[in-house]
Amino acid sequence: MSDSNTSSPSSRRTLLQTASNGAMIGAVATAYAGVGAVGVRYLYPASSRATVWLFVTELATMAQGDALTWIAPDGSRITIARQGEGDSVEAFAALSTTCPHLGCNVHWEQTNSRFFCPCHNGVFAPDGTATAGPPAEAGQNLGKYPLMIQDGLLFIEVPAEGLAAVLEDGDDVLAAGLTPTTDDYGPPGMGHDPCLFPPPSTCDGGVG
Amino acid sequence: MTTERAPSSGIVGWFQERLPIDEEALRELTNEPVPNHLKKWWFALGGTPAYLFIVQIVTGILLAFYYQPSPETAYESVQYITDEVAFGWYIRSVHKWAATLMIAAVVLHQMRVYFTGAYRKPRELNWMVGMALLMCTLLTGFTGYSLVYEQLSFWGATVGANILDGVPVVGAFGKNLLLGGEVYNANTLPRFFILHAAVLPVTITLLVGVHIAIIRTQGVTEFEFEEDKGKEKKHFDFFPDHVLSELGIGLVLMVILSALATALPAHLGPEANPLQTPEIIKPEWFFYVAFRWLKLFSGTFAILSQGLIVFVMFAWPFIDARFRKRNPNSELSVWLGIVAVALLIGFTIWEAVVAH
Amino acid sequence: MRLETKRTIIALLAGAFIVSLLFVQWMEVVRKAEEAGLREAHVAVPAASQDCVSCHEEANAGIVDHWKGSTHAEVGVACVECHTADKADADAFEHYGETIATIVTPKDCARCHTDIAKEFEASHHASAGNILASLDNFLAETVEGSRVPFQPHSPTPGMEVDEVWGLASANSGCQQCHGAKVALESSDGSLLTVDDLQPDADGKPTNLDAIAKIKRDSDGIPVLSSTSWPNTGIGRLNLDGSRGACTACHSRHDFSPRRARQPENCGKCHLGPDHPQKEVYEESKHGIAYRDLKDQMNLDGDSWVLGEDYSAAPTCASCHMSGNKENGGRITHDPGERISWTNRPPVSTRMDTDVHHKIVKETDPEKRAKLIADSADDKRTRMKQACATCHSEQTTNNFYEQYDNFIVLYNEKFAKPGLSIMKALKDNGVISKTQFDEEIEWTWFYLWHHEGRRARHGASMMAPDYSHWHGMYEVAERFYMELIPQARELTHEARDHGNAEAADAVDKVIDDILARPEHVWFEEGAEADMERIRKAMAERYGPQ
Repeated sequence: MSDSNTSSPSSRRTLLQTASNGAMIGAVATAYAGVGAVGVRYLYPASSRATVWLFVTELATMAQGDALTWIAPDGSRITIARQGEGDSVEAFAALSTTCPHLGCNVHWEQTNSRFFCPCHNGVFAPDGTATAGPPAEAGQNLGKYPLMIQDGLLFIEVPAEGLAAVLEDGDDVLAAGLTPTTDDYGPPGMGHDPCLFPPPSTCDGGVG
Repeated sequence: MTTERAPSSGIVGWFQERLPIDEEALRELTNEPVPNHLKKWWFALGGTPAYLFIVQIVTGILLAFYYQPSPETAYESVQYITDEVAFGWYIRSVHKWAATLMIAAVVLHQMRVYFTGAYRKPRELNWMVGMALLMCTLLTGFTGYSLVYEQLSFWGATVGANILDGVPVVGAFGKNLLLGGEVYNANTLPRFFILHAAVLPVTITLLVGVHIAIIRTQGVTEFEFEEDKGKEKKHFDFFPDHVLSELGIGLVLMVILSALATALPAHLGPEANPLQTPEIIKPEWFFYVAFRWLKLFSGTFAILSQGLIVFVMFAWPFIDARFRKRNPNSELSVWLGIVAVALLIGFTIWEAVVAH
Repeated sequence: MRLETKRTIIALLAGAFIVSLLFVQWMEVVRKAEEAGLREAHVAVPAASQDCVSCHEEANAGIVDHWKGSTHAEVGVACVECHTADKADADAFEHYGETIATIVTPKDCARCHTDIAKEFEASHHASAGNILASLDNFLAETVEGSRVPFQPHSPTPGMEVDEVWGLASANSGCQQCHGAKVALESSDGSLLTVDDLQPDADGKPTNLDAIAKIKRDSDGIPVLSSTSWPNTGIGRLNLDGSRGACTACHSRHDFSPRRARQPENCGKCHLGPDHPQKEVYEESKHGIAYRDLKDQMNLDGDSWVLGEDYSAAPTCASCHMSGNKENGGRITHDPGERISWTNRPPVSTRMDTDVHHKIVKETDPEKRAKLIADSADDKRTRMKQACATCHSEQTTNNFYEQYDNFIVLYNEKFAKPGLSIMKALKDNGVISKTQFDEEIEWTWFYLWHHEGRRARHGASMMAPDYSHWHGMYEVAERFYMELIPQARELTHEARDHGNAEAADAVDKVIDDILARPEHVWFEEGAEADMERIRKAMAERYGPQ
């Protein structure tokens, strides 16, 4: 004998039915929605330790006007330049070499004193402001990294991704650090005048 | 009989116009009257593994997002899940505990079916489908544990494959098929992964479908308990009563799983080292009885005797029928069952407490 | 049961499930917080040092392992950053594409740690190499060894010994703490040190002749003489003109501050019969507390300010160098900044220093006052800031009075008299000008250099046994039972050899000393004193 669904004339009974129904459906739905939320959070990439401060160089090694390329642990190349006067951190700039437009690599052109992106001819001033091309139109400048000076030493704050907790074999480890700035030339084509900044041998009157 | 119904309005009506499902027939198909004895809790032991299976599918899919089935990176990826991924430890622990509970529930369910004689004619086929499900579940547990690539995973798989090798005639073939080679090699882990995550789940799903279909077509075994003798048989509705019960059981299981996952989370042992066998190797708890059996009797006899036992289990409905033909009131099955359960529990505990 | 009941139960179960999920969420948050603290610090290898690490990881795993545990590694300072050298440096060489030098001197560390290096250079630690021109040096080089190589006494089976290197005792002994004069082997068989290379302000050698003679091995690497390397003596005289070795306390390659905070670190050198600071510390209550409460010392802390980050017990570093709450956490790498007496010389001197950090010797009070840039009291005040973490002013001040009294007692009763006796002997020619060739010179050496120092150190750091039994008692015994009798014997001998004038002069000095009230007991007896003691004993403890 089923005792379900019989609509008794008593209104209190119906109220109890709807109340219990509602409570049940609500609670169960919330519970399983919670499970779903756990699942979604689980799938979302885990955030490891956000950033870390790393040593770049001693202040004394950089004169005003100098720039160097520094490789962050996650592999990105960062241009660090001493542009202003004085010893304060404002005299320095650490600029990302990833173009804010669609992510290509910009490089520094010594002759033109500018950053150039070969993908769609984006141009940036030495302080990272976009001056021509799609980035300028969208008002997107080169990303900046925080710098800090302590006891005459320059430190940069970068994401800790790619830092090895333990060095194994050295094969897969991304090494952070200084590299000599040799990118005075870029890939030919892609809007470049090949003689503007080539490897010294090919063109005459080119950049040495 | 099809009655003309006025087309429903709104969404239901929208679907009704596009999906020609006969509501009445559907209602009749699903809302079967369930015998009242199913209100007793031990009859819920069938739905329990089914629900846990769904939990395993969901958590398993989530784990598969991060797990890497290659010997070089498998352990690391499990570590990543456990240590780095948000709630990774929880999903992994739930997956591990649900596996244990599912196997326990399957075994208990089988015992219930056995001791209530629900395998007898005309339900022999369903018993065998159930046995197949048991084998698949155990194999899923085995392959799943091998994926973690801990020391015990590696050596458990090696030992297991070698036991398989001990089976006459087909053993070597089986081992090569399982390992993808003579010994544990680069093919083995991906093979286990596909078995665990694709082949076996699909097989289990299909078998469960068959299992339930057979129940539905035959109807649930009607029981007559002492206290109910003579009374009119009572039934209750599948929907919503039984569904709600199952829902309740499901929630209880979730709470239990959460509690176990937080109180006793899954840890990670040392990484597999093919060059060094650990002092103590044991399979997962659900294989303790088999392991103990193998240690008591050596070599081929042990393997063959185990094979015989499994065969007897498969064929039990028919063997039992034979016995009851001779003596209709034979309680042999009950006594045999009691002995079997005692041995099962005894051997499992024995293996659990002993080091070697 | 009724449907409503069933539904309610399920709602409650769902509620229980939600609660369990909330608990899971909480656990996740806690776990993340723990991970943040417990996560192993990452290691960053700069591109330039990548090759160094890959090779030396295999070849010298210990070096790379230690380095990985250092703050340098976390921040991206690796091999090349420290070992980089200029081609013009005396000990520089090419190594797989980089120009490096083996020895990293304070000049190299100063590139980044400028202020600390400056402080250290001004300290007595950096001038520890001065021992090379001292009495101890004479002991090690001449008495224990030989300044000139000499022929072996007889053959050594199993080893070719052409000649005996007489400075070995100095090398393995004194110089390992005080610092060696780093020497490169020269092509003509001699040694090239900082004196020969004459480096300029940048550390580059200027003497071209010396540079030309630098011996190099088959790989072109300048050969460091075994007489001076390895050496991490704190006053090492480096080839680039700098003095000292930061690695004496901050052992390479993990440069662990944790290690530098522990007394065992200082104890490599500050121990032994002639300056048992470590033993004195261990006897004192400070040392006892440290041993017991080492776990609460927060040795691994980034910040280690006494009174803020820890206060369980002080170590050597706590009082002599580290920052404390009172002084705002200011660390000094010049321990001399906090020391008011120097107990090194035979007679202890007040540490009034001039602008050059040298002790003011001027006796005229007016002139003295003008010369003093940092007085002994200023230094004592700085030390008292550390004391204030645990002790009241009265305790501290009273202790310093006790200490001052002890030093003055030692100075006036034994040190100055002993010194004047020795001076009289020498001035009057009773003993030779050569040190350590007569017994009394050893006696006097023991008295002030070993026992006298022990006594003074014991008093300075509250170790009663070292102050008394290992200290003043032995000083007294040495003075009365050996120094005085030996001096008398020498004058006696001098008289026998016809040198009555010298003998008289020295005897007068001895007599004047022994006539003083504090010494009078020795020759005139002290029966009155003994009687007084017996009476007091009987009064307090009953007849014996």
